[in-house]
Amino acid sequence: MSEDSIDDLIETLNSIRQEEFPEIPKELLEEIVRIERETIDDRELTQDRISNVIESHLSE
Amino acid sequence: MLQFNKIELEDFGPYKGRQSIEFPDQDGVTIVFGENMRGKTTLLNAIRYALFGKILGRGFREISPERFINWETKAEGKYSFSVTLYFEESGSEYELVRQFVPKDSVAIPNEDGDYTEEVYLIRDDSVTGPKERENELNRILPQQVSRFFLFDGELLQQYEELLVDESEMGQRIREAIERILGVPVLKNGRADLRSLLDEAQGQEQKAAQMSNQTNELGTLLEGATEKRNHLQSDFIDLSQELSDLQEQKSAKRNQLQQLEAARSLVERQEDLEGQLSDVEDQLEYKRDKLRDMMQESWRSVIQDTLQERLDVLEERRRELDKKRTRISVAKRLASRISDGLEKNECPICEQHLDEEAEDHLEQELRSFQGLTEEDTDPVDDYDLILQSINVLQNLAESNPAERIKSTLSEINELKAQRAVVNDEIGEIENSLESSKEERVTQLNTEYENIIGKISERERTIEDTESELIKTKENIQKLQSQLDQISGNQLEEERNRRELYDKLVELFDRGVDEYRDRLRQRVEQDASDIFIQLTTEPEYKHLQINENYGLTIIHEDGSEIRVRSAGAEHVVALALMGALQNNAPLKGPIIMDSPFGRLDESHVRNVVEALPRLADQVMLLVYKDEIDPETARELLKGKLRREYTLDRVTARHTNLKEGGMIQ
Repeated sequence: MSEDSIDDLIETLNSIRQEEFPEIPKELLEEIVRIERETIDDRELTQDRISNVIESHLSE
Repeated sequence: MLQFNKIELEDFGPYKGRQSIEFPDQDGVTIVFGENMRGKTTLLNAIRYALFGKILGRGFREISPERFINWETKAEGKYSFSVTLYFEESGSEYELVRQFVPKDSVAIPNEDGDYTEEVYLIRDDSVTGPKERENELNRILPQQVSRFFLFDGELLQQYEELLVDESEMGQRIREAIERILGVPVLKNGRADLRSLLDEAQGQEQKAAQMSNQTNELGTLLEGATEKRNHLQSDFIDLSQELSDLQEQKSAKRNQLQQLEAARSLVERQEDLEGQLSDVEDQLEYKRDKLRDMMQESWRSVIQDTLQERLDVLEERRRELDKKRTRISVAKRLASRISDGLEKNECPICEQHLDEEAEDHLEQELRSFQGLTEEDTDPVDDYDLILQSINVLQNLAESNPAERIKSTLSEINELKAQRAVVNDEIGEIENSLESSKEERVTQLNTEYENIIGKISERERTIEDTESELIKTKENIQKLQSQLDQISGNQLEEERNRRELYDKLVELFDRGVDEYRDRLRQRVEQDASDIFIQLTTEPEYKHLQINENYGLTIIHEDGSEIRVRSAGAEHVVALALMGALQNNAPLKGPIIMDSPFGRLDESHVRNVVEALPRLADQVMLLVYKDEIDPETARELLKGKLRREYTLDRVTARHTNLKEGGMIQ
């Protein structure tokens, strides 16, 4: 899946975010989508990486 | 984007020695012209084998690679083949080698088990490890979406299933479509966030248990969450089991369909075996009966003597009857004459008897008296004869010869019937020899078992789901009670949990919205391609359903419910093009003889539209599908390269660059 092709996914999520969850930063969503795109079948690794991103966001 | 550069085959199928096809750098179409049985489908399989290690035959049955070792090479004592695919993706260059070779310990391989498969993936001059190779290949072109890149007419037919709501095949194609369109990124994201939300809830419950004020609520929540987790885990396991079972069911059904002819033969065989058993029962019954008759068969030996004796006795009885009548009449007359003589008057006219008449009557009386004394004991003799006749008649009537004859004839008829049935069973057994009737029976049993398991799992899933809903409602209730109470540690955990909660909801809605957007785009693009492909000017556009099935809409707004095989084919090609346009995952399309159901006008339209379907298209065709000159004229500058499959022998084809000469 190419870099350009996830723009659609992010755009879809972002439009919902803007309307319903503006308190969630767009960058956080982008980061989660990128992590999901990069990992295929390793759920544990994916969840670890997402958890780290969330923790870092919460600690800001 | 995935782009093929070259495919190299060595002793694969009819491609003896090392042969290759080079894909042009520029976007456009490569056509491989080849007559039937020259190896067009083998080329498609070579690419499939390189990428996924699979070779497929008709009905998508997997074929053993052993059958693809070039026959002539094998006869020369070389038992291996290899396929190397050179491609690039996201700026990296790859060389994928897959070879099928005999195991070191085997000198002359005889069966599949004597071979091994060796795979190498070289990325930018570095050899990848097995796990990395697997991940890379799965990322670049997952096998689940290969149907959109490597296909033939048979595969295109399957897209009709998308219009059938409950179709398992349609469900599988829908999943593959969503996969190529990138939906799993969002679905996996949602699932991962849900797992992390569960963990965050657990942390929050633990924090709640630390405080006296919230301890009880925390414990209740922990229990409810634990229950929910169990139920969720059960639900996932059961759903997976159900999905596996449905896949098994589908696979078994495919196998059964392939053996359909054999199955009907087995049913006929079972029917014949039933008939045979009936005939055998009847034969046994008749034989028992015959055995009983044979015990009486001695009677038939004396039958002639018996009949002769009966005839004599009957004759004698008739004589005695006459005699008895005569005596009886004589007695009555003698009595009347005697009375007349006593009264001296005629016994008939009652007139006085003169002397002459008296003498005449006395003479008559003596004559009659003589008759009555002729046989002194006729009664005893007569009764004895009657008894004898009776006994002999009984013996004659129970003569078994006729019945034995009739039973034997029935037995012979049954034997003939048995021979006919046995002949037919024999023929069926011969026909079934290759399709293994036990396998059909076994498959039927397995299929029924799977169906039983599926309905059992569906019931359990329903129960688990309903219990899960109740538990989640309980958790929500407890959670909102806990939210009323504050505390430092609890606050921190709550914030984390709330963030996950929102993210899950966001991704959840994202999945639905992204699907809707994709459907609209696929519908639009497929319609555009369809209008270009179809020859029917009254068709206005295509309408997509929840499963990505496409319905043709007439210019008057009505649905075209019944469509021709050719129209189905064109719709499937339009869907292919639309998916390629909208998929995050893009790559070359390899089409094997895809025009089988299309008329000439449609073929021309499709060929013309090929460059729109994907940047790189390889068409494997025979010249009756599209003649080279027409293809060149229609594709103009977009026809980048031509190859011809040249026959050397029945088991040896050469790939030659350049088109077929008309």
